Amino acid sequence: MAKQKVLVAEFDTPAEILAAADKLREAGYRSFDAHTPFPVHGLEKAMKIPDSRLGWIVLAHGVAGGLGGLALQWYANAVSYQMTIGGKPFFSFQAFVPVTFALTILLAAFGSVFGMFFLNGLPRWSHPLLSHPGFRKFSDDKFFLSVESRDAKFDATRTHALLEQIGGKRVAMLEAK
Amino acid sequence: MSLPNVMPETLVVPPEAAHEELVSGNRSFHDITELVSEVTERKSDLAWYVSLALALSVLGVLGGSVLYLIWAGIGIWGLSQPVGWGWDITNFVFWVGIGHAGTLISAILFLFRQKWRTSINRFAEAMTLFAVACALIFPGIHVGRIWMVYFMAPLPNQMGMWPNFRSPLLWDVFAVGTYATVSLLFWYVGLIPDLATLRDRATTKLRSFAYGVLSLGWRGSMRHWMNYERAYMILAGISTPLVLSVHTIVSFDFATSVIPGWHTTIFPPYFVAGAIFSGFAMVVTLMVLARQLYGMKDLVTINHLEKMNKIILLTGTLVGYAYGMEFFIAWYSGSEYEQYAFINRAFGPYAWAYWTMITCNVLTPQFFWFKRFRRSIPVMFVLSIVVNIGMWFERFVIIVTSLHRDYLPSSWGYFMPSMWDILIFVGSFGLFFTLFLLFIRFLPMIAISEVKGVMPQANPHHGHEHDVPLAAAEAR
Amino acid sequence: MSHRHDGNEPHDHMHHDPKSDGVAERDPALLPVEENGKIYWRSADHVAGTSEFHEFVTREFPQGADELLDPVSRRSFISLMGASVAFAGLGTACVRRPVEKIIPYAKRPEDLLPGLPQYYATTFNVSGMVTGLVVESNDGRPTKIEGNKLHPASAGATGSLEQGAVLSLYDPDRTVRVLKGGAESEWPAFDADWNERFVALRAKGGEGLLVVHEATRSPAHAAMIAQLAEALPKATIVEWDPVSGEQTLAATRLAYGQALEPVYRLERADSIVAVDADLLGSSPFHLRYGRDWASRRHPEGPGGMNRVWAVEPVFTVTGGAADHRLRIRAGEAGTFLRALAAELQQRGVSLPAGVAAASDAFPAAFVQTLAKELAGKRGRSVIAVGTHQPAEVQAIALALNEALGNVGETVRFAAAPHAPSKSQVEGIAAAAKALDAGKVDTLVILGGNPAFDAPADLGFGAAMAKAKHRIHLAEAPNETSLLADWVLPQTHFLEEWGDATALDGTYSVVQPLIQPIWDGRSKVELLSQLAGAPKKGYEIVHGHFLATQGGEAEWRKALHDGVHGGAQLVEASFQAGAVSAAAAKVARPAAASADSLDLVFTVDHKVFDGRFSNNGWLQELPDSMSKLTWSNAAMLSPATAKALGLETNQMVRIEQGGRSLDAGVWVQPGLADNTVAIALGYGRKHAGRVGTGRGFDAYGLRATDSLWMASGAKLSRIAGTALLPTTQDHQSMEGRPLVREQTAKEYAANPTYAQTLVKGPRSLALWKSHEYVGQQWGMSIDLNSCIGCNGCMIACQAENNIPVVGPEQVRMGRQMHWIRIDRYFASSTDDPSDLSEPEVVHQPVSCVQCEDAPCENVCPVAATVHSKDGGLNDMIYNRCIGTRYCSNNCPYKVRRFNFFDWHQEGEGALTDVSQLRFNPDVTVRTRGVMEKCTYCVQRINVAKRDTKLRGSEIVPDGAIVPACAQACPTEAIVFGDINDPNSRVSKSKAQPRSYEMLGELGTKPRTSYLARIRNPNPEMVS
Repeated sequence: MAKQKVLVAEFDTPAEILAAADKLREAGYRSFDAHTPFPVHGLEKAMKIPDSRLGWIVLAHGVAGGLGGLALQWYANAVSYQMTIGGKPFFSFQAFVPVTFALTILLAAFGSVFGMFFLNGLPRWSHPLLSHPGFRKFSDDKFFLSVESRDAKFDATRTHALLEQIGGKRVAMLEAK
Repeated sequence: MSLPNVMPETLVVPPEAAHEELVSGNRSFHDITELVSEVTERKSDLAWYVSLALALSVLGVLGGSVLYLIWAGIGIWGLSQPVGWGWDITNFVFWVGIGHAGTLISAILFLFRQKWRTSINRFAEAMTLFAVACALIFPGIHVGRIWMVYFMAPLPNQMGMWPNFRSPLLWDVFAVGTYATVSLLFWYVGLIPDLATLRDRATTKLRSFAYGVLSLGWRGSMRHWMNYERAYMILAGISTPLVLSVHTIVSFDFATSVIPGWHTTIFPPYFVAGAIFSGFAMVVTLMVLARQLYGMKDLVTINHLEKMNKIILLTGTLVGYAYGMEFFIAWYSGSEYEQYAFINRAFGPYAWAYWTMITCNVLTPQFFWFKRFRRSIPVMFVLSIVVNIGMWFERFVIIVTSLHRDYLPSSWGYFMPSMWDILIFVGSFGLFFTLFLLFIRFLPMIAISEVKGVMPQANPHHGHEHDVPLAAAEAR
Repeated sequence: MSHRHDGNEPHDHMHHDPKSDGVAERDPALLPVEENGKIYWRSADHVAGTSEFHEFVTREFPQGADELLDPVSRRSFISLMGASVAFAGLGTACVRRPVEKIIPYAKRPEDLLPGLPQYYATTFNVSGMVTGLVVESNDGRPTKIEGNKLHPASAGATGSLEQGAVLSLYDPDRTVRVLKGGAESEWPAFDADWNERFVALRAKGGEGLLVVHEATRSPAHAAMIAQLAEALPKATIVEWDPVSGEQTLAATRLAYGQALEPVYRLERADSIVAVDADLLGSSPFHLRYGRDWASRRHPEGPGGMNRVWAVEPVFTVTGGAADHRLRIRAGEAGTFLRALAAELQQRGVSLPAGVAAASDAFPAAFVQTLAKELAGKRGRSVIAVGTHQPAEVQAIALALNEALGNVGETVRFAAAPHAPSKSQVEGIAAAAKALDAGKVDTLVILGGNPAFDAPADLGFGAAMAKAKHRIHLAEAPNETSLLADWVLPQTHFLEEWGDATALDGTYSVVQPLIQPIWDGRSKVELLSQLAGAPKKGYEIVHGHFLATQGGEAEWRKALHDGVHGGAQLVEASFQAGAVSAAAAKVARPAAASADSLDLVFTVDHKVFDGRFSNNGWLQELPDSMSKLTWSNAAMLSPATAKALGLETNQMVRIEQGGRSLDAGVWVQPGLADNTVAIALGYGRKHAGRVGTGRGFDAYGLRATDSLWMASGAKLSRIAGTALLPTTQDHQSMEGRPLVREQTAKEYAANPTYAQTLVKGPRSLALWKSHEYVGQQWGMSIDLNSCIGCNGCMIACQAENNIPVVGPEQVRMGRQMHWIRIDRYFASSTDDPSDLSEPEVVHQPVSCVQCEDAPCENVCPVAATVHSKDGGLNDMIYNRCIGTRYCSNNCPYKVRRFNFFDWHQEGEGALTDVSQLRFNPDVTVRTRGVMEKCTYCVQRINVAKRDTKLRGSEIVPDGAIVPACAQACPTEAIVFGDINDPNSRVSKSKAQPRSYEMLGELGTKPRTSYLARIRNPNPEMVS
């Protein structure tokens, strides 16, 4: 495919970028993104971002952790090597609860963190945006909108104009190397 | 008692508190960035180097003592028949307890929409990790054959042996191990956006590379934020039962035994309350120092500290209640062994330890009934230290006084710590403070993006007529 | 050992080739342990490579040589094992082997099977104590000592001294070579030296020769003494033994005109009166007496229970077992007996005139009730007096026994051919005088340690130096050896030929289990040499047997059985007149007070007269009453301590008769007031690595006129504390139902009372327990028979390779005994804190093998689990990581932890010789590992194996005997299959007085206890 291009525009406040995002959407843009120092309330609606699927990943991991943990203890103490300990049954499940619980939590936590990385495509140490000197302020106090060339309505000049019209400053075109 | 039920009364911010400025001094986003990042960027002062040198030398004591311990055997400790556990497990429980505040603040207060947590949670989480690191030393070195400690792991081996999953000690391994891992992930996830900030401000190649790698190429994308916040909430969700379970399971070490003074059903809630108690006290101690040294009084306001003190008061009182309840149950049980154990605790050879514990843990927090003391830096600094002394003694009292006189009077004894018991305990503080000094030097000690998120101007509708104060929080 | 039967090829067992390669340049200290390995080799003849190895290390790095030889280096260990096999006759043809015939006692194999132990009969013969033994030998190493069922003094039991003998055999501090003036020498050098001296002496008929020997009950020894006296008629031969029973012989000479040994039949006695007599604890027959006494302690047994009345100044084992106990001053024993006589006379018992004398010194109720009981039990009582009491006092007791018709019934007499003609004290005193006057040219001391234990007023040590030639035959160099110019290695009894007669005259053989490790000679061998006709021990003993006992066939049987002939009892006619005269002289001593105390010397149950000081097992054994280890102490009653303002562990100076001693105070309930008691045998200055400097030297206070008791002693507090190591700090049972007891009367009324004594709620299991099918092991311990003699503790230590930890570690509570004897004092009055008249209970506690064991649940690595077959609580040493959680969670606190590597460090440190003692069937535990009793699982498995070999599956009842049960003189410990209703243990557990200690915790212990039943005289119970 053609070289990936990104148009990026800078805003000063959460209010401005929220308004701008609304306008972009109304203008029919879909694959555009906002880059903010902290999550701005309302943007997700303005951008029509679907609800996160992370929950399901975590659930799967949690269930695996729990069942796996119980299975491990059952196999180790009741199947592989039966030892009479304290006169208790080989499979004394009451005693196996804490470890089962701990492993459930552990895998769920892995699921949520690494699941999030997976969904966000992180780590990604090189990205056109990061090569734009002005963009680095996103992590301080500036707010950015970026429109990608793969968006159906993308057009270098018209989108550029639109961004400036909705209040974007220092609109720039970035190209993936 | 279980924590969530009592949280609301104390923690849900009262109406007037809602308007309390969580960030005073009318700061801008950039100011926050400056304020926090600057600490990690400027040349650190002599005080820091001195403290680090001090901490490192104490850490050296730990290293040396542990090496000698492994060389000579745990006979160098004061342990005996019948006191098989002394300072080793006392220190373990002590540190694990302290390690509760961080995750508690990050998770439970988060779920309860306590916005005030934002400026202290990073700090508290770091403290948690370092405390747990200290705690993990002791189960490792307290065994007689340290080189065989891997037997505890469920690894297939030539003996065809598996660990005994009925042993509370093994539960500990899993519970504390999980807790350490999850806390670390939680802490790191929170750090990512701020690491990006440091990366973007980096002036040297090294910093930009280091922070660049650590921040995983974070670029604040709104789509990323959505998954990020979901992940953070889920972590908070699963950490809440976890943080409550850890000290519950640690308390099982004692509660599931047959030893009078250990065999008590009240232990889990009682230990959890005690853990929060000591953890919060430790946070206050360190917060007071840090905000003083690094001029963060605007971010960590007296309101934050007062709220911490309220929790210290609550949990301290809960612990006091538990002490009383133990005696009642001992009497009510009708078991003469139980009864003797507690009478011996209060009036036996270790009475001095018991009354130290009562004074530090039950009496001192009562000062916090008065707003004056709650908001007085020197008072809270001293009290928070006293509280942790008391909590160390609580673990000592529970472990040693129960063991030294159990069922058969013929086998009663008395425990005296040896030089090595003391050196290793002192040394563990060396590890704690070394890690801590490195943390405040190289990482943002306050969650920059979170603080920005709770500032008034973070609300897109800011400037329009004021709507729900917790809006920003609700967005999560 | 079949080869031992193949004839008598001539062979000299005494003269070894004197090559001493690489030894000469070594440090010639008296305790040259470094060379142990080396010298040891030569007696076994060239074990491959050893001497080269030694040369190598000594030349390459002289310093390193010691390290290489001394600790358990693999090389030295392997070569040592080689040598011990060589002893067993398995070595190469060139191995020097004993040619004498030794016949296995019980399991005589066709040929030696490596790994299979063999058992030989021999005899323990230490200063009047004669116990028949059966010794287990593993590949030529004696490793475990048991009692000989056929021997009257043992009846299959052993005491702690017998059990400890194995450790003494392998003591690295023994005399490992001939020493001349402290420098290394060899036997031929001594032989040459002696031969010329002998010629000189014989010229003067032996004048100027002084021979000092220990008391012994060996006929062969007596014969050799006689032979020596014949050869050198002018020689002076004296017998000296610091703890001899010669007063008893004097008493019988007085009362019967001849030296006799009273022998009691306690199984026939309904009433036993022990006046300062520790029949069950320390008399030469204590094992047998324990057995007989216990046979009458079963409330349901035939003949009913006996009753023991103890009247004594110090708390003895017998006093602990007594039903009535009266504290009297040591000097009042005679007064008491006369008072008792007076009461008996009033009850129609006719006594010789002058014996009876009423006294108000004792509670009337006690004396009267006792007298009434005795008067009603003629011929069925025993009145015994301690062998250390004056002859007159003992004579009074004999008179009472005569009057009550006990003589011939419960009291009989055995001949005492070994009795020396003149008194030992006079003998040693005369000897000291002669030495001091320079009349002695040659002094020969056979064993013993007179420089240390002779009466202090004789100054024997100093006088000894005045003899021109001083020869000391010593098992281990001691204080006396330091003053001798010739120190000769003496054989341990497990290395030598000998014989002995038991208290009742039964003859038994001492036969060697191993070739003399240090090329030593026995006393009889040296005696024969002194007499100018050197013979081997075997020739002497065998010859003497043939001359006096019987023929070759009897000899072989005697070797096999260990005993020959029966008791040599004699009838004797009582000489009332003499006794009347003597008794009349027995007066009540002047009153004692806090500033004029009675001083009483006691014989220690562990180090005895001091000869066992270097034995770690015995040193660490807690005393039956004080639970003191590693030391003696100045014992005071609580009241006296209070009056003097003294407390346990304070240092005091004891002053008496111009002599003084600094010692630590121990407050001991049950002691007579205004009495300070101190055990002999401690405070050795030159005992070896273990024994030197332990405790306080009571001999320093002991004079010819106060051998056992003295009055007018003063105590003054001096600076310092003693930190006396004890294994039990807390003396009270805190009202807990641990040891449960009743009187016989109460028991008859309410037999199941013991089972009802459960405090607090009973815990129940939440789950269905496992089925324990097949043979399941259990134990029942009868607290009514246990006298707390410690036999089981040291038997367990020997059987299970249990290390010694040393006094400092004992103080920290780190002793390792797998079975301990808990001792609690209880007040006999209403005030529980008043221990002036204490009652004592003993409770042996080892792992009770809980079915629902708390220790198993908490071990993270499953290092302690339950065995399905047998249902034991197993320890898996190589799995243990040492969390100590199991020990914390053990309600019985029977688990022991290796805080250090005890076998490498401290008092228990091994040398290449001392490691030979190990029982090969039991793992030697390392540092950081938990250990505990397993019912001697190694013995269980051997029994199972043998059963299988016999094609059976069920191990017969009694085939398995744990070490503790085997040693127990009173048969208090019963072990067996609890699933078999007919086994002894099941029957014992079925008794109504059987109970589980702490059973309410739901631990389901396999060891249960039988409640103690006291049998007081109903008239004494108010």
